[in-house]
Amino acid sequence: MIGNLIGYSMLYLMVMAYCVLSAIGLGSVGLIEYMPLLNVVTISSISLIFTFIKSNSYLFGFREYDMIVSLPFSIKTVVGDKFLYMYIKSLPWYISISLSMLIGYGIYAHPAIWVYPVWIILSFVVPLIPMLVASLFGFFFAKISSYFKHWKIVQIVLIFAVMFLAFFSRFFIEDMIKEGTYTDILNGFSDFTGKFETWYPIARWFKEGVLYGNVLSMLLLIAISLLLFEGAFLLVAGSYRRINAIITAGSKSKHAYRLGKQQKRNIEKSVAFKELKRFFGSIVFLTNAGFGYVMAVLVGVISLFVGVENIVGAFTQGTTISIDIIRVAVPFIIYLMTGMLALTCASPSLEGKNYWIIQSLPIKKMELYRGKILANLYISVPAQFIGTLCLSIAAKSSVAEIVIFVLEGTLLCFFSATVGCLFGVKFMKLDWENEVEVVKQGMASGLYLFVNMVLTIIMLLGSVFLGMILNTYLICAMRSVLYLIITAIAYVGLKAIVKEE
Amino acid sequence: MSILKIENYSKTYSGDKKAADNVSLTVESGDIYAFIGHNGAGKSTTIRAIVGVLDFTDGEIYIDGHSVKKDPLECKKITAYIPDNPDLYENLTGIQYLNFIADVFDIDANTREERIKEYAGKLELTDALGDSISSYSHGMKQKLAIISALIHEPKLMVMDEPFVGLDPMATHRLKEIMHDMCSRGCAVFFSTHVLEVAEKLCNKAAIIKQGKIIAQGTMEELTGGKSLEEVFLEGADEK
Repeated sequence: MIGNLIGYSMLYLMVMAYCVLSAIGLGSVGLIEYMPLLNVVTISSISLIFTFIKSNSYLFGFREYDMIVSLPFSIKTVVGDKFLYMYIKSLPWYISISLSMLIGYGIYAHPAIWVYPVWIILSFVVPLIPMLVASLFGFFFAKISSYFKHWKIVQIVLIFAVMFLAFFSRFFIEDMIKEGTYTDILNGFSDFTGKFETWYPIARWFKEGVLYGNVLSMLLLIAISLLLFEGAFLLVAGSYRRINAIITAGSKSKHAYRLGKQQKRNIEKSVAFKELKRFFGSIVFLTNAGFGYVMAVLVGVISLFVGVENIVGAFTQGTTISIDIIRVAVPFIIYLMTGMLALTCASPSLEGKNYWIIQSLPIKKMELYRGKILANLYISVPAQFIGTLCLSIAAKSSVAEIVIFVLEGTLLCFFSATVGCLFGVKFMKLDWENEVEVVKQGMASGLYLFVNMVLTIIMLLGSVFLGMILNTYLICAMRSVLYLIITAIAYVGLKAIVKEE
Repeated sequence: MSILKIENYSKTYSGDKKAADNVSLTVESGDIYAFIGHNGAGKSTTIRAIVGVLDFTDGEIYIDGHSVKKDPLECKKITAYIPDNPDLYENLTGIQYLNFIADVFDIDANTREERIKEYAGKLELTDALGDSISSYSHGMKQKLAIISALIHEPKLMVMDEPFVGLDPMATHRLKEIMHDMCSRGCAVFFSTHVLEVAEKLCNKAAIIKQGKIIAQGTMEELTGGKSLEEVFLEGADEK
């Protein structure tokens, strides 16, 4: 419990530090008056995306659905209260972001004392409309997919489409403001913010409320948010029971089952099969943990057509890097995506209410966790292989280099799955109400993300610099040895935790 | 020979509430043993400790001579557990779940096929084995849990309220299965509130009240000419 508390505190501190640094960045280039706008943009975009991904798991198919809907509450009230629950659970993140930006704003702008309480109060309202919009989108996607037999697949495809759109839209926004000289960038930024305020009045009302003390703007922000909250769920209420019935019904085949030849597997493979069924059966798990794998394959394939320099340039704000330098970093460019989130971070906790099955069976804990690692590898290794192969070809690597990159990529998958499992077991949380709590918001996922991201970026940058003085094979060998050692330590650590239990 | 032996088992949750207080009982080979008590008496706490779901420090529990604390895997290999509300893997189909359990118990393909055919046929679940468990009713999940418990032919079957949610045919079949198991030298230990069933089905019983065993023995010793319901209610009234 104390470990969880420390971990969560660290995550919050990291987010807050990032926001304060953003404020310092804006302040140092004389753009501090845009801080309120940046606050609204950040909170709105994060709340929009994250709510879109998780809203359906809060609003539909929850465990106590039958009991609550049978009580004398209107459907609109039930859905509204579920939304409020999601809003309250998410609020600490958004308020942390807002407070951090307020700190940065306070350091550079030295505002009047009344700005502080106004900023804080309005920050409670800022995420409401994006969350409502995201929930409505989620609802419409659920409604569309409910007309299909394989409604889960349809919903996953729609969610992935929106996620890719959101991911790639940042490049369009950056293109709008990064052209030319420093003055051009400032002018571009100013134009963008002007347009943004026009079509997103929330941003304008917040800015006017905080910068100028405009009471009408403050009241408009609060009133419109509350009115939309009141009205939004009238739309949802009509189809709500129908959608829930479809989601909770489960799949039934048309024909009676005929018992045929059965297949025996060893325990690890049996556990891996169960885990994969879990992964593909959960929209939250699949869309959150599966996004990176799909991205890796897409980026690899796209690089064959657009060239690896353009792929890398898109992520480095157009900075040109020689293909000879990029080549040595190929496994890590793909691993940035496949290693985004290991399945094993969440899979121990996702046993949840089913944990009694494992506890009552004669299954050794290490057999169980090896099975979970194996399931992760069944997904990550093919994605890493395809992405690495395609990117290596696009980077004009030799056959020997391709082989080494593929092998190194496979080792990275082992690293990711093992370290993810170590965190997943160490910070196991079985008493979750919603999968989002462990898949997206879990301590294991958060710490893994941080550790893995830091290590990957160090490796990537280190490879690029070392690539100028050492040959590719030596760099790959050094990286592989390092990751082999870390993976071995993680596996031993996992065994030690299991022994303690 | 005792299949299950509980010696001075106690379990205290945080806040000093004793859920089980010095529980001792023995289940012999061939016994169908009822574990009876009011709500919150400590039945599930005891059952969960037997099957290894709940850790405990006070007392000892032996299954066929193996200690649950020291040899948990050996105990689990010969035990089957059916909880009162089986939360099963909803993303699996019935047959996939049974194969998973069979894999854990290392049952070969032919043997598992025979046993699944037998028990799924008896409990009338064969037709639904290809469906996702998420589509099952409570009774169907209960049936699936029973089949999964029988697939490895356990020596000791431990069940928490096994008859809740079962249709009359399935209830009858389960009783037949229990008799059949015990005739082969196995034992069944289950908790129930349905005293008429316990009285007709079981040869032994124990009554637990506020964590303590207040009466145990053969059905004849326990009832002494009265009905089990009368004995239970008398025990419940005593302070």
